[in-house]
Amino acid sequence: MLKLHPATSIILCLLLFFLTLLYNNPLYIISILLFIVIGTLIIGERSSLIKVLKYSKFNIIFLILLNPLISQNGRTIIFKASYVPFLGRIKITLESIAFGLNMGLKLTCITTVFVFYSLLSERDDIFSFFAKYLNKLTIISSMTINIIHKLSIDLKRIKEVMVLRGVNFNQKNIFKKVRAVYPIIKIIFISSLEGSLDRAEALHSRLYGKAKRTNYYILRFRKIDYMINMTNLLLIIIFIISFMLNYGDYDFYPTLRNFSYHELIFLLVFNFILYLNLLFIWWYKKWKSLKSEI
Amino acid sequence: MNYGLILGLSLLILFIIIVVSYERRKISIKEISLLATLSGLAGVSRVPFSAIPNVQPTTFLVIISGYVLGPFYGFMVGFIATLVSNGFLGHGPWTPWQMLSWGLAGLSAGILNKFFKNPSRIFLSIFAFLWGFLFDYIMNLWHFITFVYPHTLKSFILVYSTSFYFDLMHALGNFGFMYFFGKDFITILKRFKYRLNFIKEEEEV
Repeated sequence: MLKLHPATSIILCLLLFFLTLLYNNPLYIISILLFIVIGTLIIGERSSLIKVLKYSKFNIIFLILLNPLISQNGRTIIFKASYVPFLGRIKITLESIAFGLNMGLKLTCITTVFVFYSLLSERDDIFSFFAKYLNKLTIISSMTINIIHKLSIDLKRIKEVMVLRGVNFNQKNIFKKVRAVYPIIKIIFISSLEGSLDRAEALHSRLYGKAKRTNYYILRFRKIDYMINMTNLLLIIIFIISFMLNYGDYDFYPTLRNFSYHELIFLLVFNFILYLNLLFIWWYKKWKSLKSEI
Repeated sequence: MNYGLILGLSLLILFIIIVVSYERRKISIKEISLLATLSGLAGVSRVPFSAIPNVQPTTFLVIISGYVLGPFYGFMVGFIATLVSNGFLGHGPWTPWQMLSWGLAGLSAGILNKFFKNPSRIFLSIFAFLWGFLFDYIMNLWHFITFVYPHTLKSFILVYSTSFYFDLMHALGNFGFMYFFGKDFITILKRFKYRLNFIKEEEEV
């Protein structure tokens, strides 16, 4: 886990998210995906990455299978069927499979952006950051987290008591299973509602909402935050130029086309700026000076 | 035109408006505490039923919260419950859409209460049943618009039919929860709302 300023991680991840949505060129999508994969590995969260890639594998297969069935565009025919129920006459083309694969990569990229975001900043820092601007939303979120934790303990405790009283939760019949679980939910529902009043009284007695909230500590921008935000700015400029030159776009139909020389040169510039962030992250892990505040 | 991007940006702007209006709203700590408790309950109820595919008591709890406490509170319970419980279960591109879908389920239940003061058990159950499908249809919308091309009726039916059994399980689960437990839970929550209002009035005096 890194300790970036929450604003930096939000800007970087929003940028990655919208760049993935905006670019249609597979080379750009692969570049962004590789950036997130390498970044996650540098941070040392291999297990989170494997988990999300396992899930994404099915999405990619689904989109590769689905797209040729609904899109009859493309000239390179791989398979032709005269009649398939509901779908009618279908032809499976190389272009439609490539389009499906590109969309699968896009979805994987977007999913990994969320994982990457959770690794860039400390949760406490994110809470402190939002508490400054979104006071009520933060208090309600932190109370909910506390309640979920408390309820899951209560749930376990009540379940143990019910098991001792002879309730069987491992029944195969779905209705019997639901009937066994229902009393637990009812008990928890009533007791937690009672508890909510107690919590409110406790906060009220501590004068919550009577004055402006104070901050326990102030989050400051470090050297690494300035450096990453600088590359974020450059990425936005690069995106605007690529959008104007139409480099980020790619037409899959009617046939797959080769990438032009200029397009590849521009991709190298895009990658150079994007991958600078990886260098900063790696330095941050290695060098203490980047952790210091300016 | 990049419809996926337009949809993503619209959702981001909508969430900013919702959060800002919530921040500006005058809301007592008792109401915040009640919202947090209901959100916590809706969030934690996803765990014991996780073994049964797509049976989610969260939808049922969000609907009854909206029905008893009103559209705004209903929306916020769905919104917060997803935001926080996904912190434990895993965030992803599905999170904003779940927040919106569950929020809308709560909001619509609040609106329903404005028109039907004492609906029958079966009416509420059908409402919850429909939300089982609607929830998943909203969830599929972004997937369909962003990752599927071309956008034709055939592609729409094909995409939505792949999740039909999951949607049906969600809808049947909602129906079951609302039919068997709905009235009980609504009575408990109404009683609690009455207590909360009573305390508020007492404080004002």
